[in-house]
Amino acid sequence: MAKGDGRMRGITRRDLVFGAAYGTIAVLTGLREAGGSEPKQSQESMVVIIRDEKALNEKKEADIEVLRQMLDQAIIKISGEKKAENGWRKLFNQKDFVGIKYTHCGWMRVHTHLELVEAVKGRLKDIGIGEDSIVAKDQGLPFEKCTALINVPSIKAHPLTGIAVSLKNYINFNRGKESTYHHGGSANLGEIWKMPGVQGKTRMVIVDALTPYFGPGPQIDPRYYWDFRGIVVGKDPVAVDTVCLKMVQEKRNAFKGGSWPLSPPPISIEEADKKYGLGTSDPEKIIVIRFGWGVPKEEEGKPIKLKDLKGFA
Amino acid sequence: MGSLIATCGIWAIATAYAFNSPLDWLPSHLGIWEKGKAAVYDRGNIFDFVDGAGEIYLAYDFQKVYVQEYETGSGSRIAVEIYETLSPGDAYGLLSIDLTGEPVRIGTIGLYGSGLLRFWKWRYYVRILAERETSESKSAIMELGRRISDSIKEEAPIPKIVQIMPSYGLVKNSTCYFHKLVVLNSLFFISQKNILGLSERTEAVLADYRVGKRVAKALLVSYPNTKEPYKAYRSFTREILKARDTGRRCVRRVGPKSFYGAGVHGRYLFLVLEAPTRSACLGLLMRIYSRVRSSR
Repeated sequence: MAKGDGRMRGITRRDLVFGAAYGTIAVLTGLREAGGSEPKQSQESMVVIIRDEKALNEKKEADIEVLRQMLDQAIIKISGEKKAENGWRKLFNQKDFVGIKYTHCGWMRVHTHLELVEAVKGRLKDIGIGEDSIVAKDQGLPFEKCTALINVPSIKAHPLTGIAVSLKNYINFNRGKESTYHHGGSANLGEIWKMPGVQGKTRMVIVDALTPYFGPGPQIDPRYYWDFRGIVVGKDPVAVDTVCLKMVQEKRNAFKGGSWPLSPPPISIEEADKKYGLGTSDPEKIIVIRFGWGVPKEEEGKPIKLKDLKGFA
Repeated sequence: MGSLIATCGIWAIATAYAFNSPLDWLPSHLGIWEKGKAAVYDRGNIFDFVDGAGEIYLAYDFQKVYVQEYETGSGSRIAVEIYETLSPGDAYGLLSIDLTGEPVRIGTIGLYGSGLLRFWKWRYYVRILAERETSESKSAIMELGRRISDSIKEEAPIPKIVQIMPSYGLVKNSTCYFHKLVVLNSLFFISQKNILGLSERTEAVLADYRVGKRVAKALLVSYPNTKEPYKAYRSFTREILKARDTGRRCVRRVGPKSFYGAGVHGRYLFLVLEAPTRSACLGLLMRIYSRVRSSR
């Protein structure tokens, strides 16, 4: 099989259990035991997870001030700057026209919290980007016009793609062809990121992990909202989605008290790495740094390889 | 959270619909909740409502969904969704995608949890969801559910194929009824290709079975004739089990601690997936075979 030809060939469960392809996805979803993975090619990527119990109030409404602080903490780590403002300046400049692509998913009702979108907008304005140079939308974002994109998705288990995070969040950039990216076609979600007007513009992925959805679809069931109260931030969308995949898979297993693999297998993540070169899905090369609520003190701020990280759920 | 259904497209006034619309079953107000926006979606525009995953509904003989929102002066919302199918079995199938939850005496099978009531009765699968669960919203949800259920005068049994599945070892509330590959793959991925020949003409049930300390899956598929199951059997044994010339039953190791089995009898194909041992796999396969044989 030529890598990335999932839509053409049709992978089987046997391919995932025994085959050469989709090793990362097979291991992370529990279909294959770790070991004997594919040759490593990609670079290391850092993903920062910030959690704060106060990010949601008693009514489960998001607190924008707490989110601002969480964002600042993440940007400091991602940028390597001592001040968050300098971190934002390192990633964006005043001449940028910034598109913030969030998720407004009516049917699943697992939206990006608009407070998070506002917090991001606020930080861009703080470094001198004008209100009229920032567009935040789900449908109809003028991505061609943007000089920079920030991908701000929610997290949800998805009955047609396995999981939906940042890679799938751009699905409506290829307007009218959204359904071609379901089932086996999800292998090709990465091609959207290569479209003229999209390619190379994504400077940051900021995932709303306040209440990830880990249950069955097609419609949501509130029993499967995870009160995680976090954000997941990185510059590498594939690494970010791989981390989110591991989080959701662990939560599903913990909820069920046994293996509950995401289905169909979220092949888009590994294809985005191996076929489209958008980042790394290799848990050996993804460095996770965690802060805040629920993080063991001895692990707070400590870089840990994703493959060694357990205990999200 | 914004309006529960405000972004879903076409709106209409409930009273504009013809008499006997399920929307007419609903009261204009209920305690502090007043009727708000309403809409109807069919197979042609289901994606306007279930953006991104309408295929799951289309994989059943779903005809229409009637959506009615209720709201209070303070902005609390309840959304009622009444899915109408051609056959009672398919309305059951929509519920069976997830049969867990707190059982309630509403509909033929009713389930509640965290502000969501789901029930099945005859050709209707109903979901009533509160934006936020409170004692008041739960009472309203239950009352709305009872009114809808009382308005549906007929009932139907669960599909026969579900009852064929052996009861010994069956994990409670794990049985899902469906027809097509898209639903199977959302529950348990076997192949992107339709190697089992699933279609609107097939009936299938997937269930969990306790086998020692592990859980195995069992899949039973009914075809409209005796040729198709054998063709599916051969495809499955060739593609997944990597076995040839297997007669009518076959068990193979697929993975380090996992055995898969397949059998065929009459119009039925039956599979056991992820059993911990060969004997456990064969045992469950034979129990299904026995039930299939006695059901003819």
